[in-house]
Amino acid sequence: MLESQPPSAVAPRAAAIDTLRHLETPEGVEIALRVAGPVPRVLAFGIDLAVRAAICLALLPLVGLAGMGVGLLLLALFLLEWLYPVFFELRSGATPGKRAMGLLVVHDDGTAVGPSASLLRNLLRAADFLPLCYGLGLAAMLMDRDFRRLGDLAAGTLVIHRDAPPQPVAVPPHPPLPPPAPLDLATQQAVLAFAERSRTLSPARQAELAALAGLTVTAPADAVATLLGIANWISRGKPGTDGPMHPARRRDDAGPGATP
Amino acid sequence: MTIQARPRSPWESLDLGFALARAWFGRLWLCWWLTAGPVALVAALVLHRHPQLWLLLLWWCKPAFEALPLYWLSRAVFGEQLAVAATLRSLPRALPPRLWPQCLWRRIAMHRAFSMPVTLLEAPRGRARRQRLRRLGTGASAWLTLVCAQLEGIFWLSGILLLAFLIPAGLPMPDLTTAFVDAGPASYWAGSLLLLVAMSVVAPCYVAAGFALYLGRRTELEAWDLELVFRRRSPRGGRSARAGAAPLLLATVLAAAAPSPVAAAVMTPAEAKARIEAVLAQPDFGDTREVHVWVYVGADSPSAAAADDGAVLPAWLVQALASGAKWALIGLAAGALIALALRLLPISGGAQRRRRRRREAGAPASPPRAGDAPTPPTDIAAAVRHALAIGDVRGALGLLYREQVTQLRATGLALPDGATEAQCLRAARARLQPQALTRLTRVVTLWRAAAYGHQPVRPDSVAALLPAEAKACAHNDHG
Repeated sequence: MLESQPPSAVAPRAAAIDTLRHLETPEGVEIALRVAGPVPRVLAFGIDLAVRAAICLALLPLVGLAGMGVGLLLLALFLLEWLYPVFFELRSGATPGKRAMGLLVVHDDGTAVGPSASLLRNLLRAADFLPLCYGLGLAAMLMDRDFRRLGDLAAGTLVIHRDAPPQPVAVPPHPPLPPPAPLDLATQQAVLAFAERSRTLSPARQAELAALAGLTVTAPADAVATLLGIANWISRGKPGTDGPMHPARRRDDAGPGATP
Repeated sequence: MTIQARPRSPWESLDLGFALARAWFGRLWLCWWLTAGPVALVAALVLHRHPQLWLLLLWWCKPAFEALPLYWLSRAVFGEQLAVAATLRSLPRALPPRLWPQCLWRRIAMHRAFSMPVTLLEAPRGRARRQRLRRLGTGASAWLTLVCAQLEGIFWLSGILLLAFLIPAGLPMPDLTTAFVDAGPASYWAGSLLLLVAMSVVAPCYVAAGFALYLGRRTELEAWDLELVFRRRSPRGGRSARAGAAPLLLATVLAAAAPSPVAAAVMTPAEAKARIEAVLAQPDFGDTREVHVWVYVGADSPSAAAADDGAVLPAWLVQALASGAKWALIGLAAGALIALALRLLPISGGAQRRRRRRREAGAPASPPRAGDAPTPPTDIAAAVRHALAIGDVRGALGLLYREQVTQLRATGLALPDGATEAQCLRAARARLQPQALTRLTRVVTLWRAAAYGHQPVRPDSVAALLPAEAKACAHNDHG
């Protein structure tokens, strides 16, 4: 039954178009970076431009200090133009604009960006700017698979979407039910995801998906409930025994036995 | 599906759209020109005196130009990439009458890229359309329109500047403002054409990003990724009807994702075995190769052998030759062995001679061993004094140490032949009186320093260790 093998983690990905860049750490852990495209980056640049303009405006009263003040203002403009992104990228990996858009600058192996790479990618803004308003940089971004502008290509960096801190998503409570047959990993994950996302799905769509899953033996009317029960079974384990992923229950069970 | 279905944020969906546009840029660009090209040509003939109007008309008709790329993309995403001829044939379906509102009163709308897929592919009307847009819509589509307008402007101006940069230094530099202001028709037309090219370059990205935004939103709301997993699992689901909204997408999703029903059907073991064998028989598994080897198949028929022998040489001659060769070989081997032994003997003899010479010199090369050491002299003290007198401190210490070991053995201590000085000390510690132990320790320390450390040892310190002297010292200490 070759065709009904569990969906391989690699096969569909090789062909499917996506904005993920897959890396494997030396420990054999696979991580996926979500590369950021032109629209969020242009908007982040716009925000940064506004921030820099605001700083310039705040520094404008320096002109009142005659020659010295103008010199200081020019120095500040120079620093803002060239070192503003470097400073913020080295500090937290993103300028305020990028942070607002949820972006992050990293090396193309996923590590935090270093001084040399950050300096290089920001000094090469001059090349990206040509011939006007980042024309070359945008063209490079549209042509590159990972949306890298020339500075990114030279410095070996990527701009990615920052991963949001994982939110604990609860599976809706339901009496656990055993699955009718052993499920492969992909199906288990899908069943759990179905339970976690069932609140965002319409009831009709829930019923449709549950019927599609084909895990119900009884009437299809309570297919959703069955699927939720299986999800609870997967996440908490069989009722009355130690669940594989439920340490609280295990502690409760061990308590009375350990103290006679 | 040729895209990875997973829940995405709206920004990520836009990025996916740009990735799609990059993957199929040539086709999408061609699709855009298939509708825009003829319109631009006809309009240029009619409005050749008014380039501004020509540009305005083309800009106004953008939704119509984007319909065909969108149609092509909606097929390609689900695995059906139409050829040029098929695309042309599907023009009437790609440009339905419901496109008119998009080009008329809905033209000035920021979320055009997003509303186009809903309007053209799902085809809801009136209130249903508004509801659907409200349900699906995100703010990202307006940002997309804004950014794409910027892109067009940047590419347009960059193109003009690039052309200006490329003009050789000797030629007169044209006034660049004429490309923007309607002064000289030629340069203004060039600038307008560049704007059209910039529009055509950005349009595939714009269409694809809007479509990806739409797909991403539906993936999120309808859990398409889960549906694909469930469909892959159960063939039953693949045939069941789906009350999806877009029949156009539905058909292609079903065709792409449903596995063949044969695969998951229940099989008897015999069927399964036959199937496995059939699969294993495919050329992907294992391989065949030709190998030539000699195999003994038994003697030929005697008559043929006899005929052969008789034809070449008589049998006795062959026998004699063979045995002669055999004995010659044996003789050669024996000779070689003897030669080797003769060659090796002088070496071993030399080694023996060397060893003998060293023993005559009287310098113990190693700690004395009971086995091969010469028997110790009976009067140790005299021998030690003699050795000290001729300046052989090391030999004197060796004699002293050996005497100590002999005494230890005499007390019944089982010291192995290979015992080190430290082992001797450790064994003696349990057996000897403190006084004797002190002496032994002193001997061992000096012996180690002289024999292994090659440190100079004063002869009088050795002489103090002689049995008689040691006794005297002990008396002095006690007295």
